[in-house]
Amino acid sequence: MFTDETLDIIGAESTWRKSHQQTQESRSCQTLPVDTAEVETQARDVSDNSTQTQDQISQALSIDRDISDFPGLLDFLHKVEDIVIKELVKNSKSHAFDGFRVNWEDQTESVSCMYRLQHVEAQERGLQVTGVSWNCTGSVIGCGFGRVDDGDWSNEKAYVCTWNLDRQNLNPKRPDMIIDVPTPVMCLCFHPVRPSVVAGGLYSGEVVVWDTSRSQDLILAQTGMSADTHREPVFQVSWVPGARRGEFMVLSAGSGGRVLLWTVDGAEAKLILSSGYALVQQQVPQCGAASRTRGSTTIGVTSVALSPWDLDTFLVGSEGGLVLKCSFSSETVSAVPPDGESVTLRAPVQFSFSPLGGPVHSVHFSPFHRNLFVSVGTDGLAHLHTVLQPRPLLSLRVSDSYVFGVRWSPTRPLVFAAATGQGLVQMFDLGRRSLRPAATVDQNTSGQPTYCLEFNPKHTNLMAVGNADGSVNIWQLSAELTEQGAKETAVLEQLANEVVD
Amino acid sequence: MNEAEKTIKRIQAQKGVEGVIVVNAEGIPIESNLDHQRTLHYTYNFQQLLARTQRVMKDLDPQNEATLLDIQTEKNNILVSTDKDYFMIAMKNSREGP
Repeated sequence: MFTDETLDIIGAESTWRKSHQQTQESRSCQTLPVDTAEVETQARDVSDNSTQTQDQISQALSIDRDISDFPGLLDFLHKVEDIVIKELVKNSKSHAFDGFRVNWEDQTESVSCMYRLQHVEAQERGLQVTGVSWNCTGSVIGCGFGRVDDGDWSNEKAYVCTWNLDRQNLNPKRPDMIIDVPTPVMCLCFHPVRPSVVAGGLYSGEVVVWDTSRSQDLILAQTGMSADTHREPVFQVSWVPGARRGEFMVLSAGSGGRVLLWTVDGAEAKLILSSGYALVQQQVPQCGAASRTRGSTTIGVTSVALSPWDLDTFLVGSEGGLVLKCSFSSETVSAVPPDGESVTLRAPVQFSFSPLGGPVHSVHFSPFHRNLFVSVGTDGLAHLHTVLQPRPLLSLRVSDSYVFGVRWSPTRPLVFAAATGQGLVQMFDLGRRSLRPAATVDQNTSGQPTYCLEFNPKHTNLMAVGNADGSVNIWQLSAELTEQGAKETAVLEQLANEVVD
Repeated sequence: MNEAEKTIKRIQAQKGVEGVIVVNAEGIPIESNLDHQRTLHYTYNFQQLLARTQRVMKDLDPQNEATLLDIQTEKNNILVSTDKDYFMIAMKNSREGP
């Protein structure tokens, strides 16, 4: 019934394709040949000429014109001659201005507490102020909260607070800026040129740089936890001038015996290790006394002082009581076995001073004399040293308890202030005969220790003091403590040149 | 001419006098024993100061006017004496005396 069948293929040819092909055309063009010609010229006559300025020979003016050019000159001179001569003689004889010294500002007679800055939340949790720092313009005071008495590995949240003292509506109980930090802050340092940048060292060994002018994410750079970072609490951060002018690196020193230099990489928000130093017992040149710390070979660093005169030298104070003079440019490789750090650690120690009886809490170079520095620790004494010899020039009894901080006055070469464990700041004047303090500033902390103090770099009569009860006191110092007298530098020089037998 | 010079020399001979400048009504220094730079510098500045002072005096009392300005500074003592047409600046070191 059904059969297969095939049909012819039916196709339809295109009509338009051919017609398009017919309308094809081709054209070409070519430029005309280019004409060129060559000509040369040369100068035939040459002449040279130059000019130069000459030093002005100072000549006094003199009347070489006719007196008639100046009518009335003689009369004038006759009239004034007598008056002027009389006045001149009178002024020579007058004692009216003898010893007159202009005082453009009011003199303050006494030390007064301007502000008592507190952060209520930190105080409720019992946090202590471990570091204070003024920014480079002298208007903002920053403080870091943490704990010094806790020996445990702590993950307690802490704060960094700043107050702007030049603002009208300063509220001492409320900081202008509160930065939350995951671990306690051990030290703080503002950038020497940029007023909003501050670096802090944490209990966990991290170093963080904040930029307070940002509106979000204040962290400018941080070390993070890598093979390079400190494993132990960082006790001191400072800004040191970097390789190029205007650049600064962060120096951090911790109880792990490391002093590390970091460069700030703002783009990556990281601190990159540029060079590092490790201090070990074996590489410290002994000064004669037997070393007191045995067992651990690393020297835990508790304080660092940078020399304002010699960019290569820095001082290190250790947990064992050693005060060591170190150099940034030292080339000897450290004896510490490498632990995966990205740079080779070097041994910087050049000289060792006579050791203290306990941890050295603070060391500070004198801003007025290149060889002098003062160091304090748990023995309650302030030792005045010169870098040239191991024994101290002078040892002053500051307090019966520990001394936590010491700073030279930025304006008076002979004055320094020390913060004690009894909550007092003792100010010493080396120009006085007596070895007792020139002034004692009570921090009103009811016996709790005072941990840190800083002088304001711009308004040099202000001093900030951080206490264990979580408050920062801003003191205005009297004129006596801040105004430099005559010959102070000479007395300091004399002191520095005394040689101890 | 000698008369004028002698007068100025007498003033200069006083103890501690460092410089004497005589300026005419147009503000051009006609006599000075300091070098050119300093003379012009002082003339320009004191002319302004003098004009200001005269304005103040005239404002307070129209019949009164300044004849001598005595300035004691940290380092020296300057006397500016003036008349209708000329003014003279005499500068003396303030620490020296008879």
